[in-house]
Amino acid sequence: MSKQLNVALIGNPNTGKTSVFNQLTGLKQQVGNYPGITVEKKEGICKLPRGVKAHILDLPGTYSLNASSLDENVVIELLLNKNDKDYPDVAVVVSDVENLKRNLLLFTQIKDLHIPTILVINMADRMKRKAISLDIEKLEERLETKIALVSSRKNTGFDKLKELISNYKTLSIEPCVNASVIAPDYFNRLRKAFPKQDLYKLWLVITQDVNFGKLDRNEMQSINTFQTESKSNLKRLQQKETIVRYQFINGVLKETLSIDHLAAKDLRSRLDRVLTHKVWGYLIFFAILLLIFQAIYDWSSYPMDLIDEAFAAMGEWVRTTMPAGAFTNLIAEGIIPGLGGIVIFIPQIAFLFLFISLLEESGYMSRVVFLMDRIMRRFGLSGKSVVPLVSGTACAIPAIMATRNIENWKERLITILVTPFTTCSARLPVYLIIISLVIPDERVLYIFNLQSLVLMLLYLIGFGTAILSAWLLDRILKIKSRTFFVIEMPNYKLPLFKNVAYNVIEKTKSFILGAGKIILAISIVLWVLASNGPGDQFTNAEENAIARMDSGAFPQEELDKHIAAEKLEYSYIGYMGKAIEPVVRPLGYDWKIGIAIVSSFAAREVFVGTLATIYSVGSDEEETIKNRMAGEVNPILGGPLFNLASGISLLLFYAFAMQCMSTLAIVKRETNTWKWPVLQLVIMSGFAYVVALVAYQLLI
Amino acid sequence: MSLKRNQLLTSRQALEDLNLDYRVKSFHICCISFTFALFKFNLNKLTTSLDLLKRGEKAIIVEFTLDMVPLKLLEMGCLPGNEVELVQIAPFKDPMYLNINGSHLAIRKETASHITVEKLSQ
Repeated sequence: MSKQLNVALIGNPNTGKTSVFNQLTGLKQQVGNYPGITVEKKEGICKLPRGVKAHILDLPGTYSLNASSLDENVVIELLLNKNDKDYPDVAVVVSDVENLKRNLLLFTQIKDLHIPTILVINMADRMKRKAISLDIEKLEERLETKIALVSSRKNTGFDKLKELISNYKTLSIEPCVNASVIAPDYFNRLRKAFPKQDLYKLWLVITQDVNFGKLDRNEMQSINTFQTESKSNLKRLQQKETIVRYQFINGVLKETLSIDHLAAKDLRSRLDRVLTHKVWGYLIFFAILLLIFQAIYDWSSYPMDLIDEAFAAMGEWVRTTMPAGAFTNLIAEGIIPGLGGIVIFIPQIAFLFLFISLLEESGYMSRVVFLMDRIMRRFGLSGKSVVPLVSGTACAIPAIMATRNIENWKERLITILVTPFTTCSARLPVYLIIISLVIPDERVLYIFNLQSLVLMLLYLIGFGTAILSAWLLDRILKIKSRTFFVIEMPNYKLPLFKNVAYNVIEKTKSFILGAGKIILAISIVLWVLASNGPGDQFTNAEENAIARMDSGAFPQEELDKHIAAEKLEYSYIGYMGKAIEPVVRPLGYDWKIGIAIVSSFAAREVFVGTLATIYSVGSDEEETIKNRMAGEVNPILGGPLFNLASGISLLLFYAFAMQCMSTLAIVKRETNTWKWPVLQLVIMSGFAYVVALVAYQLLI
Repeated sequence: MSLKRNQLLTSRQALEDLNLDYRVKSFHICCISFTFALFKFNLNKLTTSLDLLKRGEKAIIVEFTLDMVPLKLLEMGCLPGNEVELVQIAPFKDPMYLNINGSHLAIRKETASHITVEKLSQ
């Protein structure tokens, strides 16, 4: 088989690059990460005419080859490194017919690198409505390229694109604008110093900030010593380069493009008038937020109940049909409840990502950023922090990754630091079970359910703490950075079903797989620790329990319970729990809750799973976790262990504590130091402990 | 703007054509200088910074403080000579939603204050 053809998809954000990628690869795509960084790497396979297969790489969207973020840097690193295994044989630049002028800037830069380049003009279906006409032949001639006019909405033009890709060898690699005209002397000196290198490549290496990542520069190392121009002079030259490129583009488009501006006045301005209105804009945004919460916490409860029941039935089935033994117990008591704890999140995560991708695809998200910027800035955040804070209600990990497009480092850092306060979906099962135990199911003022009021209050506490601590951090942190803020306001578009569906499937999958591994591992470890113990007291637990109780006076059921309790107490986990009990006792917890809290430092959702595992070890009745928890007795004070005081204390502890290893790992990656995640862990958890302590001591 | 310049020329022409007596002449000179002053005043008013535009107003970008304006903004079309329209302002006049040369984008008032523009009369 011949070598695979490498194709890189490059383009500005909002040009429909991802739809083109989806059309080319279909479901033959996979999403991973670039090695060492958390930038998403999307690749897929496309079948070309004559049996050739192309490897398509969907690069992060960028406005130019001057990187201002980690995502954009990936594009440059790839295009500068000929030895990269993904180095493209052909670059496909995706542009949007309505923003052709701006999109062509990036195109001319890539042409300058002598890479064979095809220009895709997307959204061709809009041309007629917008009265845009293009002279494709002339454009091809002036830009020295081949053009594919496509519409991913109508699925037209892709055959031609595939044909062009497979004939990439006939493409011209001549640049259409030569960057060296901006400073001939400087470029001449460059050429003399590095005669073997591509001139524009040298220029890019010189002008890029190198802080982003390790750029494999090889023989270009010495280039850093060549920086004979001052920083502000280099920026002046970059500006000049931009002007020169636009002059060329304007000249070309004058000959080839015509737009009837009257026809272009349209839906956008009418929608903007309402959606960015100073009153209606905010009302609509909050209505949409309400709808999202409704979907996540109400609509998704139906499929979640189904999943819950299915897993309970599965565990029961394994227990009854497989031969009794340690292995069966591991599956029925360790693995199945553990897996159930992950799978149950699918409906919520899917709903959340569905809404977020709908909002982004339609172009509405930028309007929210626009509306919220001024308000968020009062608290040291940016309008762009809204997206992480909203997605933080699903999971802090994608939320922290979504902070990347915040240009201002201080605002971005604060957003990263406070996002874990928002109530993520992992806290939800903990909240739900504790609320149902300690808060009476009553109506307040005839309409509000007390339990759901408490749940809503917890969400508000989470959001309020995030905002308040952002405000504090803004005062405390002494970081000087300029308030650069540029956001494109894209055209409104009807979201493409295919894009939204792929996005939801892929995001849900990666969440489940990522969190799933941790939860599964922990539940197995817990099960092993809970069903084994050191010394005779564990092995003799059964006899001891029987001996202590007057056998015969108790039914077998009661006896079994006591045996299980005895066993658990002398298991490894029992000893560990006893060791930490003094720390959690002032908060009103016993050692079992202590164990659950400790294990949930890996991930919060483990709390319920841990209690489920601890309580289900040795019990074979089909009893719900909730009933078992309600039956627990406080070993010192007597009375139910889960009462109002300890329940509220637990709720508050979970609202504030930093209990998610994956989040800490992401924060480390995004801030490039352990300083911030460690501070987050210590401060958030310390605060949680104090608040829980005060709450318990006041309520008891 | 061009209309005013024409008026100015024609009035000066008229003055030369009609050989009027001194008093009338001086009156005319007064008028002319007044018009001139008005014109100058207007010119000053036309050049302003981008953050002072009102909703719906259009202007031409004249120059900007390079160090205070991110390169990304230039790449999106914010370059001298290009037309800019203020599409919408958020409450507290910040940020500003602009249409620069066909690119729709939002920037903060702070950045906008470093961009000098020449207002286009409606």
